[in-house]
Amino acid sequence: MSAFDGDSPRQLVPRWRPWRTTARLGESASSTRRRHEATVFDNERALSRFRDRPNVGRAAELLTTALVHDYRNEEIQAIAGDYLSDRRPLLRELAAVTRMDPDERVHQAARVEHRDPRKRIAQLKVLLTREPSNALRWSDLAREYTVLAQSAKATSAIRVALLLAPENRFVLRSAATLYVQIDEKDRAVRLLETAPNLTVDPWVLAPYVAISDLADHKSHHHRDAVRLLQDEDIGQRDLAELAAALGTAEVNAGSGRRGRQLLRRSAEDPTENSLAQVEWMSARLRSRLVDTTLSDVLRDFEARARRAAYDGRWDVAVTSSSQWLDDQPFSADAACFGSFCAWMAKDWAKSNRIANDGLRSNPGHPVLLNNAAVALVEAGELAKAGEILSHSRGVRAQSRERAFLAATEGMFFFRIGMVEAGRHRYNRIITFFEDNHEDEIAARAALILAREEILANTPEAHSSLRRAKARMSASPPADLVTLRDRIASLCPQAGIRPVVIPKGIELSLDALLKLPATL
Amino acid sequence: MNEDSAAYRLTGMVLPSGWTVLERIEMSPGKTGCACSVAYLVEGPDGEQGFLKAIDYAAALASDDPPLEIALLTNRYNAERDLLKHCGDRKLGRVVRALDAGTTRVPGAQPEAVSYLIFERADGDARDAVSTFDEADHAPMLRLAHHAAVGVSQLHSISCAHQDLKPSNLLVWNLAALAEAKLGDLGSAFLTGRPAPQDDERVPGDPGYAAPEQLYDGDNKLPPAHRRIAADMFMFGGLVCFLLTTVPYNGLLQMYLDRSFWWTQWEGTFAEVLPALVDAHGMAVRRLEETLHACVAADTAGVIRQLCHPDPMVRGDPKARRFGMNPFDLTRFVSQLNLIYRRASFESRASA
Repeated sequence: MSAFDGDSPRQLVPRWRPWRTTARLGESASSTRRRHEATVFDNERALSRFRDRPNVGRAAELLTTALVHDYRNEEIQAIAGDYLSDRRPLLRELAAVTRMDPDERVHQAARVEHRDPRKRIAQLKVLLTREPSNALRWSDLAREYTVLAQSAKATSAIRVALLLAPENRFVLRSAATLYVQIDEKDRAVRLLETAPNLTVDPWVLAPYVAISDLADHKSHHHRDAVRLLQDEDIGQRDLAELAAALGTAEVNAGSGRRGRQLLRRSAEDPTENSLAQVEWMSARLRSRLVDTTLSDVLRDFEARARRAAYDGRWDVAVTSSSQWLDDQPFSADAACFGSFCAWMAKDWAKSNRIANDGLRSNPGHPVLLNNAAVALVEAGELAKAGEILSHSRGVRAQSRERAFLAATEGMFFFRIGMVEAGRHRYNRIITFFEDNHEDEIAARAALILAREEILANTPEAHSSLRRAKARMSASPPADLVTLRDRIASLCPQAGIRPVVIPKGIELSLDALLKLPATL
Repeated sequence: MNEDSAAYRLTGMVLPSGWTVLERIEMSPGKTGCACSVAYLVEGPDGEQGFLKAIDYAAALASDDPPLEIALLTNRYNAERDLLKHCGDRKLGRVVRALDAGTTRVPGAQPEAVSYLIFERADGDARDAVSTFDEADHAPMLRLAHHAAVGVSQLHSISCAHQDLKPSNLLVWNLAALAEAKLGDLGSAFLTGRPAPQDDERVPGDPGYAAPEQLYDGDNKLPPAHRRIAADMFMFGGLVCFLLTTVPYNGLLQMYLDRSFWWTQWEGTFAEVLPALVDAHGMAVRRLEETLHACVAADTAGVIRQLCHPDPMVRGDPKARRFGMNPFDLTRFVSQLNLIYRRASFESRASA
């Protein structure tokens, strides 16, 4: 039929990034308020010691004590400047850190590093041999295995991390994300439910609420969530994901007004994940919950992608969703959305590449297989597309996903000249989605059918387009508007494309001609 | 600072035991080098030079709570004096000796009394040593590290924790050649059975060098007898790091720790921050190892990895812990540092 954005229900499943990045983004900072009694740094006294007898040792002492006390002043920075090119490497680095703007490290986290997961695994294994009690790196190792879809190894690595640091927020959130990724949501809920800090740490309670909602479990900590949201000692950013998770759960449970209030609150000082949730909900409700266009939240790739897609700015959506996938390379949602946006942007190669990147971490994912096949059909690589579609018949898929794949088979039939078979397949799929009250998807299928009729120069072309337009609602989403306008512009050129059946297709046909049993 | 107080007017005086006060000098910062102490160079009747620490009662009287400050000051002075005497009696060769202690009077000052302690006078401290010796040659610094290890071990052997191990408290003699080092400033020390004012303080020494569990106010699961010793081990490891790299370990650790986890920023518990500290510790030690000469890098980094582990329950000798022995016994580290020093000396001579 077409590429598909996956449109699975979204909740605040924690982002899973390497520890260093998570730390820099401030997502593991303490959210409670328990200030230690800090000693006062006597800067004048420390400086006078140095001035009294300046030498390298005293300079290092001065810089260290200032750093340890988190104290900055111009004179100390000037002294640090004198050691930026010292022969001693660590002193040079100390001087550089002393002079560094504290926010600089945070901004470094805005950049996504591309690293080969295999190389990372090798590095982490060496590191963990020397530091076996480093829970955070065990979690990093689990993430890299997840990217490579090695879920057994990922699970065993995260288990070590949990044994070493059962209360650590980063480890708990990482484990929860892993369990969702491998479709063990119940396990994620159980893990979070037994976390000692569940009721006091909004960063732990948020995924509990979110994953309970995704797994259709009753959340037993609704009151705790409400209590934390009212706690004035906790910063708004620390509460953003909890507010968005609870808001989404409320909307899903039918309390739309309360849910929207919470989602709006989550956008006051959001994380990129809560911002993406607001964008997703805006698209779902067809109503902008908040104006997030001026967001300065780091790594808000998904939010930007969803916003651009909502507005029909497909090139921006492709760029942002590619960044989202780089940030969360195991995420099927990112790959589905990115390959769909690239298809909408008519960048078939990119659509195929993104889908295949997603398939690396999610082998056999039916939507990604569908999107890869669509991209290949569009690019005229019909033999490869046929192989993927044949292979897809053997993967586990829900009937809805199966319907998408079957529709793509219809597109494939059109392109190889089997117009009747293609039309029949599309009509069957349109009926399927109508029966399931998914009118927009039925309209999209009808539009694609019209396009294929036009491209094949069939007598049905104009009537097919008319019927497709009639299926569209008064205010259709951006993707349908884009498709409709593109197909309209195709009309004058109808029939210019000759049908050529490539060699090698026959092998795929036998498997594809029969409609899947679930349809 | 009240320049009219007795403690500031000792220059030129001859003390009852015959010491002549030569000139006032700066004292290192920190808790014990507080505004209530003034330092001088002194010379004995036999020409021996010493370092005098005078107690400024006037500063204590001028504080917001004079009775408390006076009590703290005198208790601290008495504790240090008694401990130095104890160390002298036990002939701890790597701990600075007290040459004299007493009280003198400065006519016309209010109050007239000044109590003082006179120590051996060093040529400098670890800060001066790292500034003097060639940083590419680790041997002299490893020698000092070994001496410091012996000193800390000697203190621990009499159930005493120094609690303020830092570069300025490692006194060094003979900066030009084969240097000798001793531990100085026992003003923050804890001696079992002899209560001192600082015993209840969360960070008894200089916070710039304190162990993480002290800075983050951690729920220390160690038995009380081991807590101070464990903190001493961390500070000693930090001192070794300073001697070899010029950067104290806390500075190095902080460089690899994101600001939100710095003890000045952290608002959670020690248990919550510990995994981040362990990770930063790993990175810091790996970086340290990269900067050291290959012949000593792995072993020295191994020593610092064990001494400076942020978790006091993991810190120290892992083998001893595994076999149910005391992981905070420094004996193995003393031997190991001696071995590394000798290897570095050999390497140094071979390459000369």
